[in-house]
Parts: sequence; structure tokens; C-alpha cells
Amino acid sequence: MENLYIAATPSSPEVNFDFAQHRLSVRGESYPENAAAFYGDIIKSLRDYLALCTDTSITMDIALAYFNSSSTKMLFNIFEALNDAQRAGNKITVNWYHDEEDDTMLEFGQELSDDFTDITFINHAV
Amino acid sequence: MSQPNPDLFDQENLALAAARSTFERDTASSAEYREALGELINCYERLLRETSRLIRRSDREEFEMNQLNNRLNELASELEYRATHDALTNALNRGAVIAKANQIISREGLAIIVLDIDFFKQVNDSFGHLVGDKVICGVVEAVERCLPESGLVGRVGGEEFTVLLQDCDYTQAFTIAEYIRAEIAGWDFALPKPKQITASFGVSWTPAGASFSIAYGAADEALYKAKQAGRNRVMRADQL
Repeated sequence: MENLYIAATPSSPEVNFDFAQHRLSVRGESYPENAAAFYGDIIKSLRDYLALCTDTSITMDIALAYFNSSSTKMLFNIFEALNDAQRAGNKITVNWYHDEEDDTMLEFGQELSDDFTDITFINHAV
Repeated sequence: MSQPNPDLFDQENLALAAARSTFERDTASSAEYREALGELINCYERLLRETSRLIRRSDREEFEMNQLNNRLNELASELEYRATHDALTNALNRGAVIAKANQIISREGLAIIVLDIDFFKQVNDSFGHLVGDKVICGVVEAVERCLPESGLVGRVGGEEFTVLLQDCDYTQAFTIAEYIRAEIAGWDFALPKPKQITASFGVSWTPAGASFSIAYGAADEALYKAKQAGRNRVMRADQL
């Protein structure tokens, strides 16, 4: 399936889903005008890809310096999709990158890890 | 295919529509009702979990933002203070004196006292600049002791100061200048060797609406005359 790449803008992150390598990443800042529209197609592609995976090790890097509340709601959907894929027999690892001084981001990552217990979370302070 | 108008709550709305449609079918079996209720519970639980995470995160972000904002306000007032005050004496600086004077003179009469420390160069030459700085600070302190509440003092040059007085006529401004002169002449500057410090004064009074540069020029000219007449004295611009 074709890889998905969306370049960063000042208000939206770079999305690089290298489906061939099973390496996915979202980096930058996220406060798009319409988060549902921005993430809608991304999540659709992600779900289509995950549906094709069986017994696959998939890595997702999340390095968001800032995301607004609408983006947070859409992030939950991304994690839901990953969690479902893990339950379907894949091995999902999420690398959660945050600024070492940003405790809010650290704690949010820990909460995601608590809520989506099937995914392996690795915290990275940078 | 994505929906034409994607919404943040698409998933919740779908679940709601499904539950409503089962609810409205009064012929459904109890197993069907149960299944619909189960799906609604799942969705509700998820919504609850996400909402509480979202609120916790927002609360934290808001708290941090609030703290940053307070710090920003503190820094802004600090900057404003530094931009309007002399770093050595904490008196107003030249720019702030001019701004304040223009502000006052636009609505009411303004008395100006300009003063200059006599033979200040000798203080610096004999005792060094650190002692000179102490003398300058001492003079500002002496001036401040003599000022009414609405009076302002600024350092407009090396050893030159300006006092702005509102609600003062010529006679009152002259009297205050005399107080200041006497206060400085009697002030203990704790110099390494005994030496009296004095200052010379020029006083002007200008009605509302006049130009500050003319008001200042008049006081400065009176100061010049006070220097010429032997220093340690006060001269009025209207009596030269």
C-alpha cells in the first residue's frame, strides 16, 4: 500500500507513514483549523494499513511539541486504531517524544500508556 | 472515502444514531436491545475516559499558561521601570522626565526646578567616580525628602537633575527649591575628606498648554545665573 507523507505547516505536523517499513511518525505542532478534517484521512489510511497487517512489528514515533484539544481528540483515535491492531496480533511500539522540561507532555504520554495497555510505550525526554 | 464534513464527534454521533434507531424500533428483540445498550455503554465509557484525560491536560496547560503570563507581566513591568528610570539613582530618566512634563503641562501649570551639583568634577577628581556616584545618589535622596507627594525628580544629565511640581505656584516652587538647596548643603555625604557639597538651582513656572522646551529653557537659564552669581543658590526665571 502506498506510503503517506504530509509535509509540516506552521499549524500542522509532518506525517510520515512509511507503511513498507512499518515505520510511522507524526512530528511538529498540531493546531490545524479543522482537526477532524486534517486527521480524518490520516486515520482512514492508518486503519486501512493496519487491517492488512498480521503478526507485524510496527513502530509509531510521536514527537509533538504542542497539540490543541481537537488534535488530542483525534490522537485518541490514532491510539485506538493502534491498540486494536495490537489486539489483532501485531506488535505495536509507540515512541513518545517530549521536551525534557515539558511535564504536561510527559504525563499525557503516561496517561495514554495507562489507557491503551496493549501498546508498548517508550518515553523519550529530548 | 472521508465524509464531506468531518466532525470531531463523528464516532459518538454514529453510536448515538445507532442507539436511537434501535430505541425507536419497538419490535426489536431483547437481545437486540441489549446489544445496542452494550455498544452505547462502550462508547460512553470511551467518551468519559477521553474527556477526563482532555480536561486534566487542559487544566495543566492552562495553569502553566497562567504562570507564564504572570511572569511575562512581571518582566514587562520590570522592563518598563528600567526604560523610565535611571539605573544608578532610580530617579526618572531624561526621557521619562520629558514625557511626564509634557503630560502635566498639557492639562495644568507646571513648575520646574533644575539643579546642578556645584564643582562636581572636583569631587570625581579628588575622590574617584565611586564617591561621585555616592554623591549623586545622596543628592537624589536629599531632593526626595523635600518633595510634596506629587513632586517628581529625574536625572537628566551626569550631575543635573530636574524636579517637576504640579499644583505649585512660583513662590511655592521657589520655597521647595530653597528647602532642597539647604538639605543638600547640610547633607552628610560621608566623603573621605571633609568637603561641603552644594548645588545651584533655577526655577520656572509655566501655564498649561505652553511648550516644555521653553519652560525647561527658562529654568535652565535661571540655573546658569545662579552659577554665575556664586553657586549654592536658587534663582527664579521671572526675576532675572
